[in-house]
Formats: sequence, C-alpha cells, structure tokens
Amino acid sequence: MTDAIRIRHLAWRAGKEFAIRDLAMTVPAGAIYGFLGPNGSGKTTTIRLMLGMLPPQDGTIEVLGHSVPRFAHRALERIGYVPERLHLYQTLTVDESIRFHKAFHKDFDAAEAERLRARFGLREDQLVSRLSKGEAGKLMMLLALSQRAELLVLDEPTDGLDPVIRREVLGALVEYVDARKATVFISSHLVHEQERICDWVGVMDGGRLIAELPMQEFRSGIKRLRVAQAPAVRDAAPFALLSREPLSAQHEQWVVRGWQPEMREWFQRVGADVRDIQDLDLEESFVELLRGARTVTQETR
Amino acid sequence: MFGQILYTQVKWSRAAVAVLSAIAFVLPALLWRAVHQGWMREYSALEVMRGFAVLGPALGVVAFFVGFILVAQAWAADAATRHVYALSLPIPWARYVALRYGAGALLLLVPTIALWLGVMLILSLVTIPESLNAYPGTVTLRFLLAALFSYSVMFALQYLSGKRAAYILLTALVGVFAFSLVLGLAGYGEVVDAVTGALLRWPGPLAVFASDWMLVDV
Repeated sequence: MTDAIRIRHLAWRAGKEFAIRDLAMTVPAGAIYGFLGPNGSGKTTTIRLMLGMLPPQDGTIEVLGHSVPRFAHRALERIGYVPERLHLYQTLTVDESIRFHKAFHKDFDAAEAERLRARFGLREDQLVSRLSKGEAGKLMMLLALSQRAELLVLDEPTDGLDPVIRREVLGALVEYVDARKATVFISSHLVHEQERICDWVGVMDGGRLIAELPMQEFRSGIKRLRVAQAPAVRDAAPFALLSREPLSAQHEQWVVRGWQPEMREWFQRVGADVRDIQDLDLEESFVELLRGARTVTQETR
Repeated sequence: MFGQILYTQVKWSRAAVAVLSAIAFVLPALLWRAVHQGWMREYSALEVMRGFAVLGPALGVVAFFVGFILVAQAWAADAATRHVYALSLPIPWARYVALRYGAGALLLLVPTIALWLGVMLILSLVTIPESLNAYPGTVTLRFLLAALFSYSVMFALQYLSGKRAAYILLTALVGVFAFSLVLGLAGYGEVVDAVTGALLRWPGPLAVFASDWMLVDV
C-alpha cells in the first residue's frame, strides 16, 4: 500500500450554501500532510467524511486500504484522531478517560499513556470538564499517540494553544512520527506551523481542493514577477497564473505557480520581459493561491 | 468494552438512579399509608383492593419516569459532544448503540430492586386481611417491564431524533388528547374507548402500564 488516504470524486452537501465538490486527494503513506485552508473552507467536514462520521453523497474514500464509511470502524482501529474541539466525556477524569479509550483500542500502550501523562503534566484525577484548553489538547494528543496508530488525523490540534504548550504537543508528535514512521494528516490554518513539519500540502477553499503538492514545490514554486509588456493571453503559459495586477502603463505584477528559471524564455517569445522575480514566503503563497483560485471561480460563474 | 460503557453510564446516571431508587423504595410504604389512611387502623379487604386499584398505577407512572430519565442520562454526554467521540471509536455504530442500550437497561434493575426491597419491607411490617394475598414478585416484574418499555421507546426516539425526542413525545401526547377530546365532544365516545382499549389492553403496547398494579389482591 502506497497511499494512506485516497479520495476520489467526493461530494457532500449541507443545505444550499456549503458543499464539498468533486474532491480528490491522495496522502502518501509515511507523509506528513498539511491540510491548509481558511476557516469554513471544508477541512473539518472533509476529515469527518474521511473517518466515516458523515456519509458521502458521492465518490470513494479509502483510508489505510479500508473503504469508508462502510469499514470505517476497521480503519479507525489504526487511526489516532484529535478533533478540533474537545470531544471527550466531561464527567470523566483524566485517568478514567484513558481507561475508557484503552477499552476500545487493542494496541493501546498504557505505559506510553502514563509516560505522556507525566510529561504533559496532567493529573490523573483531574476532571475533563475542568481542563484548560491546553490541557484538553494534550489529553487528546496523549490518547491518539498511545493508540500506536499508523495514521494520525489531527484537526487544528494546536489552535488556541499558547506557544509553550504548542511546542510540547508538536514535539511529542514529531518524536512519535520519527519512532513509528506513521502518516500524519494535520489540518490547520496556521501556515507557518505546517511549513516546519509537513512534507506534503493540500489547500482547501470553498469546499474544493485547489492545490496538492510536495511542500518543497509549494515553498519554492510560487513567485511574484514584475512583467514588462505583459501579454494578454495566459492560457499557453507553461506555469499557472494565480493573479495579475497592473503596476503602471508598462508593467504588471504576476503571481505564478510552478515557476522554473527557464520559463523566462516564454516571456521573450511572446514579446514580454520579466524584470524582477521575488520568492514568496509560505503565508504569502497560501494567500495568493487562494486569491488565484477565487478569481478563477468568479470568472467561470 | 461493555464494562467501560457501563462505568460511564453509572457515573452519568448515579444521582438520578439514587433518587429514582429512593422513590421506588418508599413508594410501597406511601401507597400503603394512602390506601389505609394510617398504619394501625382496622380495614376491610374491599377497602384495600379499592385503594390499590386507584393508587397502584402510581407505580406505573414511576416506572415510566425511570425509563424516561435513564435514557436522557444515557445519551446526554454523547449528545453534548455531537457524538464525535463515539463515532471516532473503532466499533460499528450499531454495536455502540447496543452497548449503550444494554448498559442503561441494566441500570433499570437498581430502582427495580429498590422497589422490591420496599415492598418486602412493608409486607413484613403490616398484616394483610386473611382473604387477600400479596404479590410482590408480580408487581416488581411489572415495574421492570414498564420501565424497560418506556426506556426502549424513549431510547429509539432519542436515537432517531436526538434532542427532538421530547418534542415528538409531547406533540404525540397532546395530539392524542386533543383527538380524543374532539371525538368525545362530537359524540364518538365509543371510538375513543375502542382506541384507548386497543392501546391499554393486552396485547396493546401500553398494556403493561394499564394492567393491575395490585400489590395486594384476592
């Protein structure tokens, strides 16, 4: 098996406004896949579909070789899941939550859970309802990591955590991945956090996956160009034009994806010239990618 | 797995179970006192039977609420988290629901045992008329069946409709009452009687509530 998650033609609709449309996604086994997108773009819905919590209206989902939602329970035996919001039973203590979780996971490592509990500074008798947001995040991560899961699905696991706790949580995650070579699917809108740990990235917007590529390509392939005598036609370009804006009568600013140095020649062939090439940081790339996708969507309406 | 489900259920429901069990325990004593207007008074067999025929259904009412309240307790924690935790556990959903049902159903035994103890205690303290007999086992079993029926119906409603279960039940009750009232006022009383009879008499679905709740009978 080479893909941990494989989704094709996935469709799901809630009401008139929001929908997941024709979603295709591939998460290679062993990858740390960053799932980026603004709030409300459909990341959490996609994750719930992926784990069998919502029934898809069309398309296929395979997770660790199991067809979901039909065999979601078999896939879930091998998945550690940390949802966006605390989902554990509020009236249980930390220790009771661990015991409850252990009862459902046959590979649960109680010794590892105890080690992580001590490391995260969680008291056994603390009630889940009394945990701070950071402590709740640590408890959910503890449970997911102690399962010895092959795939970790983390939905905004560090959202709202202070930098110290975020570092602790991410540190434990990185150690786990190093030791177990697990696949990680991590959803977030915190672009810089993803940049540090992910090797693949998928970008979601308006219920569609607008990009899926290796992080290296994402990081280096999006450029801002200053173009003189910019051509009107863009379809024949060897790169994806995400946006273009006039800077003066002679110059335009283009943001392109998939840029290679030899593509300068294309501009010369169409009578234009590239005057300046700037690297974008990941956050700028992310914003430009979204802007480009939204422009295309508006034009096609 | 079932042990953990039962443990959580006990933890969520223990206060309600304690209150319901206390009510079930003292109910036979309260009924006896209400039937006889006192503990030491002389009474006739007919008086006892009439009293239980009128007041005995209170046991059915309590059984209904035992089932109703334990269902609310069974799903409250999952409903609060929109079932996300339960759905993320590696177990088929139908099995999880069955485990929750089983754990809640098992808890019905606690108020039932409390009722039986209350009945046995009161029967050991009073003298019943010679021509009458006590039926502690029958009444206790009927209480358990009534509570189980109420629990099962509410569990199904809660499972199918979530928070709307209470509204559906209330609407159904108001609807039945209004329908019966209109038919009665329109001169179709026999239709109301027939429908009520079909529901309340064996093998009607509510027969267990409407049967004789005679702790003491001939």
